Amino acid sequence: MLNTFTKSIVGASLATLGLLSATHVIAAGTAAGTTVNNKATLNFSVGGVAQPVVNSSPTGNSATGVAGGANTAFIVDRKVDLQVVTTDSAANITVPGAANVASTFRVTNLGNATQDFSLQVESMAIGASMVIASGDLYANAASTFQVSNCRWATAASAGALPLASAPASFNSSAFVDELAPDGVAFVRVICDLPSGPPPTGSPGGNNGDIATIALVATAAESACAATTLFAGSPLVNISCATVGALGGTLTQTAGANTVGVDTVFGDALGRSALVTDAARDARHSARDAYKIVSAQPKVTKTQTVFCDPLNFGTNPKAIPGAIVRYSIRVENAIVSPQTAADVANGLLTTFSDLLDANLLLVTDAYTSVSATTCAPATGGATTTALINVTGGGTALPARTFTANPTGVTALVGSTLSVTYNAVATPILPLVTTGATAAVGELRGGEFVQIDFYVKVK
Amino acid sequence: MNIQRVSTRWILQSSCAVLLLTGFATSAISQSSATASSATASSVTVAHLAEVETTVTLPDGKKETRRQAAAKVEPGKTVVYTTRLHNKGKEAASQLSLVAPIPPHTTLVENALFGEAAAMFSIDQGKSFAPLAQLVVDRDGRQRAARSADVTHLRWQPEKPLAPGAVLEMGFKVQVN
Repeated sequence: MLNTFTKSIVGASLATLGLLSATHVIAAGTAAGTTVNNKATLNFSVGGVAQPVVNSSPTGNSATGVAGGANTAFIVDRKVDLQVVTTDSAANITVPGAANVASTFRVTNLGNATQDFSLQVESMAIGASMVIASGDLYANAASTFQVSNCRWATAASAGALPLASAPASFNSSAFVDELAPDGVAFVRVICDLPSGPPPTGSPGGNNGDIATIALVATAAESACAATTLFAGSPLVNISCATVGALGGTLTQTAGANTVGVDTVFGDALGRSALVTDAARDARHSARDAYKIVSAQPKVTKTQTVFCDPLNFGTNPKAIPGAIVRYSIRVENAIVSPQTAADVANGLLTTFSDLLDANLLLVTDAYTSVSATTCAPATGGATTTALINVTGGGTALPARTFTANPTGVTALVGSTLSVTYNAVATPILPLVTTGATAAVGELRGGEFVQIDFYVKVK
Repeated sequence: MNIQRVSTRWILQSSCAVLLLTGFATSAISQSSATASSATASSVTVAHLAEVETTVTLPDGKKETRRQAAAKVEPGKTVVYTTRLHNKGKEAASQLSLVAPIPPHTTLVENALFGEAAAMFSIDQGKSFAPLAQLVVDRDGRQRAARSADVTHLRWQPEKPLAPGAVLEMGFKVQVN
């Protein structure tokens, strides 16, 4: 009859799907302490007469009936396995001297029992780098400096992690408590860069300087839910902790099977260096990095003869009485690689320009200067409308600039002073759209330009 | 479950699943009457062993695979199940039909069956059996060939009777999930 059997199609109801998926492997595997039973069933005939069914037993059963026999059983041991990865896709951008700069990691319990996980952060030695082929999430150049004062906090989701702006929520004793098989915990680490703005050329003070850290997680005993997790199996070798307290150190069962639930370490090689993290040591680690991207100011001053009293606006020459336009452009030449571009911002304070003794600042409103007559169209001395301010650039996210002719300026003697970050009427930021910006802020890729006119004596 | 006879086909219907069998009476039906028998001593004993394999290096450098009882196993490891039939009676036992379920929390290892008779596979909790290559899983209208991971039961039906005093072994390997 079997020979006539053709393709069978099993329609999968939800119930059937459940049965099918019950045998599929999950990451953590069967819970430690689970008893796996099995019993085979024999039908046969003797002398052409069907005999009662016989179930199996480990040693051989001949008692008939569905209740006969005994299960052939084994207990699932405890496999301790974990994985640490960073959730950052690139180095965390920061600036010299910054405190509480953040990086984020995820710890996954790949074992088959609930565990605690102690945490350590290693500030890796200069020269350490991120290497994809070695298991890092992204590649980066070698470290040139080290961070310090690393603290961390944990949460069940990335969104629940405290922000780096609340450093009081971080400490160096936080651990992952009672993480179930296949469960994940997120860890945010904050560290400090060398304090104060270091001189140019020193580690941690230059654009592109990198510091690498590693988060090391080590599995520990949990409260181990003795009534459920290891139900039916002896708790030999298991030293249960309490919920809310970090459990004790795990020990891998040595030698042959014991009568209790054995512990086997199955974790992979980690990426820490100072803390030994070999394969199968109940410990795993991952690297992440901080990269300095600081403001790169660039100042350009150009001049244009606007008019002279003889040629007026046509091919004017710098003769006495000519009006010359100066343009001073301050640019933040660093283009931040992050959309949150504020880390590459410069905060401008003041700018001053000492006029040559042969020049006289045009105190009339420059917009009224007529190239046709090469004289201010209207009289009236003023020191508040001498300059024109414009801005623009390629900052991310893009910001729209408008001229700010009311910037705070002052003329003392022959010195023109511009205050970018005046509290009342700051020139910077010249923001009309985009995120909130700090007073005096000039983001990576942006520029601000001051134009003013002088007359040649 | 309703069982209806339609021409030469059996149609077994559960709440949503439909199983079509052509010209084949499932062993599950025949078993149902057999399992109703009262407990007596059988002439055939059925031993079912669960073992793990370990590889040891002999003094001469050669490696040897040894089996020992699987008392406790960690996830990912393989367990070898061996069923040993021993006819201790004075007459041959014929029409042998041995059904072994794939244990919960385990997955059948592909191409790891052994024994003197070819095994048939079930992906529906032992309701029907066929060569694995002939089984198709239908999930929400999308069909695919059945895989080892879909198998729920195995069945051996040796053609030759088991002579008095003879021993017959068959088995399979599973991986602990």
